[in-house]
Amino acid sequence: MLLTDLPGSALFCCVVEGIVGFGIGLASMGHTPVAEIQFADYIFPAFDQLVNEAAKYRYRSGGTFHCGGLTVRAPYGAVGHGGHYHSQSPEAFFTHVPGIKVVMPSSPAEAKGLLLASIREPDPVVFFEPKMMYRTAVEDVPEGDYMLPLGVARVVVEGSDVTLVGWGQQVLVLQQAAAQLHKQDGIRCEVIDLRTLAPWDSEAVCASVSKTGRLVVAHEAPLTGGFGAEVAATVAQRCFTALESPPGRAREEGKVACFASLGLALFQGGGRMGRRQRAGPDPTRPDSSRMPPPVEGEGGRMGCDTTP
Amino acid sequence: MRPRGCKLLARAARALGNAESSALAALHSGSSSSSPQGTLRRLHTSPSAAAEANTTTTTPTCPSPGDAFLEVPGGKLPFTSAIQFVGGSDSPAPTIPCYRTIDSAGQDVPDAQVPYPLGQDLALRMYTCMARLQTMDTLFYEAQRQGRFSFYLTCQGEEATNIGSAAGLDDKDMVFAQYREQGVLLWRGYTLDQFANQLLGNAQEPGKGRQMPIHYGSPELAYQTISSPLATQMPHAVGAAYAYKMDRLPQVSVAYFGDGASSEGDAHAAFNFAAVLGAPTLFVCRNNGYAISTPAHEQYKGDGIAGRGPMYGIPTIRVDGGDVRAVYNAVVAARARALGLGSGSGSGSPEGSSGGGGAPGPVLIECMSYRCGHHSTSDDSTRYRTSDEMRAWRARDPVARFRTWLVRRGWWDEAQEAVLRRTTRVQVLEALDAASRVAKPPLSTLFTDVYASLPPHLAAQSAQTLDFVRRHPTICPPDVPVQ
Repeated sequence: MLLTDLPGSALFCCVVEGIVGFGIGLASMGHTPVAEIQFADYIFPAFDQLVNEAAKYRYRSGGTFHCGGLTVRAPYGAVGHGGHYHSQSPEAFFTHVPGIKVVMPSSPAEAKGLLLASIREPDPVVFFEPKMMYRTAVEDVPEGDYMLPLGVARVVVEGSDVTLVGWGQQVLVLQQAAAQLHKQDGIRCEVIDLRTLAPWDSEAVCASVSKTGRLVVAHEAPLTGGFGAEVAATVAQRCFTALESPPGRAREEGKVACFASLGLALFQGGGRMGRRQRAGPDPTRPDSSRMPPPVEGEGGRMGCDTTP
Repeated sequence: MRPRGCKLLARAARALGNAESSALAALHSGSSSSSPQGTLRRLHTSPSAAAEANTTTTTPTCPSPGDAFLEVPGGKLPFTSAIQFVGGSDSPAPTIPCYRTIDSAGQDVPDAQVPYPLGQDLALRMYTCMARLQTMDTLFYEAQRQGRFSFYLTCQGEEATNIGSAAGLDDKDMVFAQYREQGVLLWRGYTLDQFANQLLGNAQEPGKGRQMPIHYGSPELAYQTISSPLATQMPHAVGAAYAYKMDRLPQVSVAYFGDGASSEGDAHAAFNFAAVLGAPTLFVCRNNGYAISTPAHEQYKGDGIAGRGPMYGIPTIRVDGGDVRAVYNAVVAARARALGLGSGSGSGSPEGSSGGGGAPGPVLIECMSYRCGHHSTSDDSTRYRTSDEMRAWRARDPVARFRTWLVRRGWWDEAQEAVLRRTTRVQVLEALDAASRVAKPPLSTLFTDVYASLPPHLAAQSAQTLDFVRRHPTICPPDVPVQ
């Protein structure tokens, strides 16, 4: 425990911009502070420090100063009862800032390896942890020191029909959707966990889409301006001739109303994923024989996205 | 069945009464069940402090038998039967006076305490630096008006604050400046060539021409690179000071900031963190009367920035910022306090959490002066202040005041003054000429240093950019090489 083993190494503070600014100062002197924001929803007072200071510290000084030792951790994501302010996924804001890295683990073993890598990374890292998994995930985590590489995606499930891309707690949802689609319709989904969003492993995703010809990106954060747009646009540009259908982003409807019902909707996410895929490509194309025809009237609380 | 009206209130009152005695204990014990043995999480700064914390300090429990104090997690508070407000226009806090040792006429203030007197060498070093700073500022400002570079701001009226404070520090104390502290750099040895290189953004400046002029930085001189946002440097300074404390180094960090910046949230965060954590940070506020066009009397309603220090638990002094000897003495004394070498203790031990009296911690120095120049070359301050006001303050030039003091002592004369000004002028112009002959940094450095190493997507963007420029050479300014 940090408190008992290394007195003075763990501090309890209450001013978010102070936490991050203080961490930047420590890092500028060569230390490796790990600043925790209690919920990602509260990171915004530190946005100035992260965007205008941490991200630019090295570049603006011509490399003569930097705060690369800084890691900022924050729990993100919906658990069902968190409401507006304990559920947000703000990763997209931070991926837009050159100079910081954004990492989002999808499981306990992933979290350990990625966090150690983030702490040791010579650049400031914002590390969003899926809070839903704090109490629900069970996994064997290797003891001892190990790191997982930043900027490298992980193929979670291999497949040949469609590439599903996600991060954080959404990866589990994608896995469930892939299993469901395989069982019900024989569709083989390739599930990719990006792990790092900035910089993200576009090579791995493009290689996968070149193989499958189809892409769906899914995230908890609101659809518009979400990081899924970055992935979809890149794939559309680089894999255009390999694509059987336009890259899609699964919609996170109802994010605006953060009531308990939203939790139910999220937990139904696997089902929505499935409906998204079945709606799939243009039935007149030759390859569409592999995909079942669009399903109408699926019902369910959030309706069905049948746009190809 | 749901209770209604009075019964509901009565039940609530009983519940509150029962809860009060144990709620405060439960608040910090982290458990939902009430416990009278709640232990505070105290910030640890040493092994012995950690051990001490485990045995509890102020533990909120049931009211003491005598009921003489209100004991809460924040401390022990005496009661009063008077309904009395403190502060505000009805009962303002007393104004903190200004420490001064040399008056406006350049004479010694008779009863002034000067624990750190200026010998001739130090005094002349300080004066020549102030005079060079003044001349440098004037010439660089004029050069910007002539179009030689895009932007400049002077510290005219604040030369004493700049040089007096710089002289009172150790050269390795890490400085986190705002943007009007070029005198600190000059004191520490930043050359006119280095200033000119940064202003022109040429290939010789370490910042690689990326930032606007006046955004200097120098790791060799322990001066962190300037950034434009206000007050962001203040929490950085506290983090750096805490690094010194953890590493047991006898250094302080210094955060310079203006009266306007003190209104930022980051300023509050920095003050509070430094005080609570006992970080050896000198907060040097340059209260020069204006934040661009906002005069100080529209910036705050309390007693300036100094008035806030004691409320954070920070030892504070207000100084005549035009008196370089007063600024120097205040900073030297403050530095010792910040290191915990203040009155009463020479141990410099890292224990404890407040400045002065043997424990490291922050100190606040508010230097009162006047911004004689415009905010910057992008400002015309005649639009919001009168020429009379500016003229009156120019007559209180801190450089002239100190010169008078030196001349009275026979340490300086007009001949030396003329030589100094003339040679400085020549040197500044030479530096500008030399800097303008150096090429700009190549376009190929546009994407480097964003991260420690170039990631694939930026490498691709860099390649695309350079390829585009090669195919359309007129896009790139003629003085910017591509590679």
